[in-house]
Amino acid sequence: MSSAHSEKWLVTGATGFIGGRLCEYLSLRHHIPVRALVHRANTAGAARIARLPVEVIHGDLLRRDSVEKAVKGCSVVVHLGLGVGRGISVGTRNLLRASEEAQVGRFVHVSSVAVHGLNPPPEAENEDARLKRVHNWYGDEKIKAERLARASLSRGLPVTILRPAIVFGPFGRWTTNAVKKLHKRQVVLVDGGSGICNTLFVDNLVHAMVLAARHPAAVGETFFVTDGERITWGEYYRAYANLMSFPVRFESLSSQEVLEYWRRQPGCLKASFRQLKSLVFTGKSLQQLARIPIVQLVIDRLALRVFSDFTKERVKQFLKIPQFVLSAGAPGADVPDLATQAIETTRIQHSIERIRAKLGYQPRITFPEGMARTESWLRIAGYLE
Amino acid sequence: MEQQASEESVTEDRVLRLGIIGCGAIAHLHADAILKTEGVELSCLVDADEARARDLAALFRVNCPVLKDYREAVGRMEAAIVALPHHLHGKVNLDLLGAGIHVLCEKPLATSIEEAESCVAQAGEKKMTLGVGMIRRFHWTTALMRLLMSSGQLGSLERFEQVDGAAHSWPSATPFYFSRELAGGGIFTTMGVHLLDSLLAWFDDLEAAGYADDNFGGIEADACARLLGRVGSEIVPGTLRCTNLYDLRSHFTVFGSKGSATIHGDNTVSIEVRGAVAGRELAWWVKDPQAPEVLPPDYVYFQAQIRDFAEAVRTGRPPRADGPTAVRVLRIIDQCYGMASRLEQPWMELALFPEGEVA
Repeated sequence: MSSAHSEKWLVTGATGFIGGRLCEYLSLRHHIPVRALVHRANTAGAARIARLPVEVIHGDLLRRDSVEKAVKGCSVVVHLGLGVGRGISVGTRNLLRASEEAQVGRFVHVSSVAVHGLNPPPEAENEDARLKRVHNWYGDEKIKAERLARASLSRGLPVTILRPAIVFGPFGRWTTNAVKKLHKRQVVLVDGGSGICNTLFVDNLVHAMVLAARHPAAVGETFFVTDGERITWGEYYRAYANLMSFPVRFESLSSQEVLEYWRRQPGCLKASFRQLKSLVFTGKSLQQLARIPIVQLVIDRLALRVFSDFTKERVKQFLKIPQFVLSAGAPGADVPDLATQAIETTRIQHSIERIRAKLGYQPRITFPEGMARTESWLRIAGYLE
Repeated sequence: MEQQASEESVTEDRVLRLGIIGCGAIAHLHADAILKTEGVELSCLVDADEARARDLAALFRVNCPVLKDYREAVGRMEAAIVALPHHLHGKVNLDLLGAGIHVLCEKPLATSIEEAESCVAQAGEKKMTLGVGMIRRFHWTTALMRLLMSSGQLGSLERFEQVDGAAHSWPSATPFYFSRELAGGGIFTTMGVHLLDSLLAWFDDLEAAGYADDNFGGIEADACARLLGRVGSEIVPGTLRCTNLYDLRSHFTVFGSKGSATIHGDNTVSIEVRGAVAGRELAWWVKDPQAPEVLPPDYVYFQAQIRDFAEAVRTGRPPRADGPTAVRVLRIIDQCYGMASRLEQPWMELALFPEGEVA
């Protein structure tokens, strides 16, 4: 074991659910001094890490000066942050550059299996599959970020890349979204839920991050991280359904039926034109104008950028614009969207042989144990009422 | 402080000149309320970040002096709303009261009991009005709940539960909320003061019987207290939970031998009462006939608070939420922190991974 006392870790994305759990383990279990770079202080994630003996510094991955300040004096950097607004790659570039200049001891870049697309091809069972554009904003940004990380590695920064899969557990979106779906008491599975979920309990990922930051054999490597269990999407949802106090009906649509359904829906322009037409003829209010998909996109992506977060929220509340503008023309029906269709029909299981062999990674928390812990959190967080 | 406030007394026919000290998120609501209320006038805006004060003035199109230092404001106002980060409350309140300025301080009154007591003593000595921003006191449901609890309508009171849970999203101008030094504590301080103040509005007395939270060396984000309330000679046990991690079904319910009464979430107007009628379990909603049919916007309650404070200044009576009550609230919080244990959270178990393990 290396000395915990000489090191200080910088965690970006510390207010996210993985970053929050990492901060908990580092400060409470490993007794490592932690600095958390926080962009938005008015979130529950910020409240979560404020419970810990963690140094919080406020800054923005997109600003080189705040990134340099954050890296200063840190021996390890774990990069989970997204870099709001201008994408993952810009923030990653700033952080890598600052880490090179500060000569940090280890840099753990947390990427994603999304670099292989939402529905990865068979060759993506191991880490060496070639990366090519996947036409998904998140996946493409993560590819760019990995390339930047490798370039830094070639310049001497000791980088390790982790590609976690479907990370679930307390505070996780894969968990809360599953429960929210189940609250509708009816879930539509794609192909009967036979796709492979590639689950990863958040504590196992934290364990992998600690190994990646400390193990001598980790430098220069890229690793998939999963629980190593073959859990299907059907099993994943049913595990949550078992926690509910009401019965949930499961239905199935074939992949083809989902694709056909979405093919029949009007696109952004067509849906906008239809609603605009009804507005012109009925002379409805400003709020209704703001419901037109393309107007929402313009307001959300362009017009609101110039306002402060506070003003932005007030404008959005007034115009009744949802927090995230979803795909235009979405009817809000229970038919899975196209991203869900792609993800939930995954046919491959990402191999964790490399991280097992090189770093001795063992996913110690099994899927049932992970679900038991998640259940205890869901109860405390009021999701099972 | 060199300058002294105007000696002129505040009489009923004169407008009360109010300054706002600290122009962050809550100041927007105060400014809005002042500008919409008769008998008060916004006389100056003060913020160490002058641009923030100027932005607030521009937002409400107010042409009043914008100042950087609250001490410069002393000659320009008769009363001040103190809306600063919590750690500054005590000192600024003492300075202002000492200079003959009436104070309506945002909660908490101070970050220590000693400072809060000094504020109360200073106000008494200088014969100044000291109010505390406990906006819930002005909700229709607060007075209504007191009536239901003390009238015997619910029978003998058996227990109560209070839950307040909302994922943190308060757009504070500075991130003081998550610092013990600047905020005075975690959620049990920042939100607990409101909840305990409401309990003190409903019970004649209140004391702590147990407390647990999730503080691991920082500040708590989830806290549970066991409390004992007293109404007349009845002792009523109850629980209070507050968190800024999760969106919970916030409510206050009191259970009696004849039924229960619940204030749900953000309902500031009506209360759900449950009880047996002719042997059948029924639920009905009660409200003051003068209360509006729809939930009023926030500024309406801030207006009520300003009117109450202005009247307290004019007449010399205590404001609805006064300094001594704020000190009682801080004492209960202190008592709770003193008996703190760790909240049971099985998912926080970290022991499966050996300490400091590398491989």
